[in-house]
Amino acid sequence: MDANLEALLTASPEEVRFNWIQFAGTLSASTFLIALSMSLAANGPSSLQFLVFWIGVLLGFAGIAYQLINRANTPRAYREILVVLGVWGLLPRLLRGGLSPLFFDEFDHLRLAQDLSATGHAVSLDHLFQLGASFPGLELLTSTTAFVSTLSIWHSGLLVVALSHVLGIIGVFTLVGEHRSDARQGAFAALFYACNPSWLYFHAQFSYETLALPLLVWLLVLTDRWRRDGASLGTVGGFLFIAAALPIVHHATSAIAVAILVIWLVASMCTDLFGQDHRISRGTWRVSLASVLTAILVIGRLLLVGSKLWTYWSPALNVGSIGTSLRRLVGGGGGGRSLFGGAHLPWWELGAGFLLVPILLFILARALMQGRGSTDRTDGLELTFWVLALAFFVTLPLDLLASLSEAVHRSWGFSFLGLSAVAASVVTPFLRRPGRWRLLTAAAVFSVIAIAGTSVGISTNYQFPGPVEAGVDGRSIGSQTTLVAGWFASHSSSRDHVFVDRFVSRQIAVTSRADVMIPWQLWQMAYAPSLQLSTLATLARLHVDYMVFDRRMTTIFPPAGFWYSPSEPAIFSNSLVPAFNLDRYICYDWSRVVATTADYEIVAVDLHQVVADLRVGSMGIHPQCQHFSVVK
Amino acid sequence: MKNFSGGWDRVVAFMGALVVVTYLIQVLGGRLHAATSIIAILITLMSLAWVFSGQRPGPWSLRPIIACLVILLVAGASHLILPATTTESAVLLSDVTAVTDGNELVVRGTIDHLGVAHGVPLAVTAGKVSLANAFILRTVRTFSIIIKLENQDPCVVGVRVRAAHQTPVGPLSCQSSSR
Repeated sequence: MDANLEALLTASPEEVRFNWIQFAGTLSASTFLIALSMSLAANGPSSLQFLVFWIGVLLGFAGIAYQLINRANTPRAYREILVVLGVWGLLPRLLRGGLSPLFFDEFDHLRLAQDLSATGHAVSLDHLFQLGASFPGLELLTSTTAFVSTLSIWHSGLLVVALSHVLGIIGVFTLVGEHRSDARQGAFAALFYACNPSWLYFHAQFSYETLALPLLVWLLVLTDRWRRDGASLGTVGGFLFIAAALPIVHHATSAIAVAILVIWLVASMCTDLFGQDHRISRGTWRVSLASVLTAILVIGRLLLVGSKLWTYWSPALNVGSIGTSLRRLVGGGGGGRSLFGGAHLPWWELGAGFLLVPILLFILARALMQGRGSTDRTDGLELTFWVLALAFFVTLPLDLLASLSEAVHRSWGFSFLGLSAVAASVVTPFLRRPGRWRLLTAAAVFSVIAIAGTSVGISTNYQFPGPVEAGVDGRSIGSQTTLVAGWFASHSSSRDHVFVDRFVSRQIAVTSRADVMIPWQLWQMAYAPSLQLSTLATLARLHVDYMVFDRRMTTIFPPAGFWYSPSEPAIFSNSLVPAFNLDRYICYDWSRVVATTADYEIVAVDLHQVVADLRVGSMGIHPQCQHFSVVK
Repeated sequence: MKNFSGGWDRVVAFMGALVVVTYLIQVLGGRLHAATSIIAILITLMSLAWVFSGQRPGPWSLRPIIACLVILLVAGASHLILPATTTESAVLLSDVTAVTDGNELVVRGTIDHLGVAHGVPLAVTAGKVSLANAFILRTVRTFSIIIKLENQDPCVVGVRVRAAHQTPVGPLSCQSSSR
């Protein structure tokens, strides 16, 4: 071992000169560059935005890695650096959108939190977020934080997100470090975990997955402590609270927690039975108890939620359909998506994306070779890490299916737990023998993984701001949508129902108390060449008070492929909405254009007139429009 | 017993407990605000107990807090100096009405805008005939345009109001007031 490194690792904490000014300075420079990249992107794609962004991000990672490698030698020191990593890791999301909700899911959860705060109970609008009230953990915590701190709901939510982001990274450090009795390995595992495709953006947004994942990690931490040290009030109490909270926060993460614990249990039993003693150890019995308790709490809660959850999960769980799609894809029958298709990434980001898999495979192979030469006993948790790591590669073919790519990307937040633990076992001994070339190699490999993680996990529209663009998630919010949402804030109430497209619906939902709706029965209001009496009946039955139309539906195809929902009839059919379909609402006695912007029209629906027209079997066409034969 | 968490394990356990307790209270019919009042008191008491128990709370070391504050300050300043949003102006016309007594046409409405520098040009038309053009200053929120009619009956073809580069609002229902 290098003399300097040995001195570092054996020095007392007081002897280690930790340069916080240098550390804060490096991260401040990184922060400035990330902000610069966002500003470059804001006015239109810039050739420099990706370069500046990654110089900033890699500078931040480099500053943190330097401190972890050269300046930290106690669990506390590692932990303090990782706390800063957790906060710094929020900056791409915060600098992307400022202190306002931006991403699709954030609006859903914000509206749920607002309703919870206003009524004292979890209430989800079926048209907006069907499962929301069934999994209100994030909103409960946010509402409590708002009440105690007197901050707004949104700012309280940001606090909860920040805390969750830090807890996640500290949790990985604690899990790996405690299990291997090596804080340095834990720190490297946490740093590696920060490269997972979801960490910089998806797990930095106000969404229930952001809170659920750290809870899962800490559930594993407490399970390992219980296994290792036996039951204590703190360990078992904390375990039970987290195991009970997880299925209140998020459905999929709690189910995955049960799956991971079961894998751990099976792996532990195998290592015990095939080990020297040929009997189940006391630790394994404790893991089994933890698994059973978690399974009871999670499965019981998910069963209480019932059919609503099954309906939500069924597309991802339809194994037959997935198999058919895969076979069609392999056979050249189409139905798949191209990796990085339409992403307009620089060549070096694409290259990093393609290098990710061979690099990870190399790391796993290296870890396997190290393990074969090691006398350390492999235990259940180590095998579980391997299973999670290998699961990453199993999900790769599924990423080619458009219907599953989103779920696959989200699964990588879990499989990277395993990859991080395995990678730490390779990186730590590699860097115990420092030399310039070793450091450069580690830095290069880490940079590729960090860049690849983001390029495969998030689209450019999410990563960077840009000019307002209709029909694009993450870019559709602008001055017009703000004015439209503001109009509803001052003109609508919680009793009003608004039919509106996906891209302005969420902003209306969090700015006003109206119930926004995008039901398939109303798509014909935009798409049908003529309206029928049955259309009026639908309006009356669904109690639609307002309709909002984006006139750009008549001139552009939505980049997302749909205006209302992925299952709308015009999806990928490249058919523009005829202008007449939106102009006709000046011709009915039950509709009136009450507000307009350059591209949006707000149409008020007079439900009393609708009912009156239905009674006499009339469509309610104004006399001045009668000569328009197309108006029926 | 190894413990690398430095107290963060207590933080996450407490978060879990908060979620469970508040969930049970609101499911069992309690009002969440009452629950959060109780929780606020509990938090205060527990924090005081923790501080005065002689243990220095692990997660609250000053150095990472100061480092995080510095980074957040730099982020805030950077965001102000280098904004990540494009300046896009937009105008919303609403509650536009038209009333005529045969001699005059009065068009009223509300105008909201974002990012407008000086004001908003408005055009009032009846069919293809331009009735009036007005410039509404950015500080004005409601407008009222009085148009002298010369042997015109705009209600026949319908009155429309258009802000610059926007879809017109209308046809507006023309209401006749008594002379």
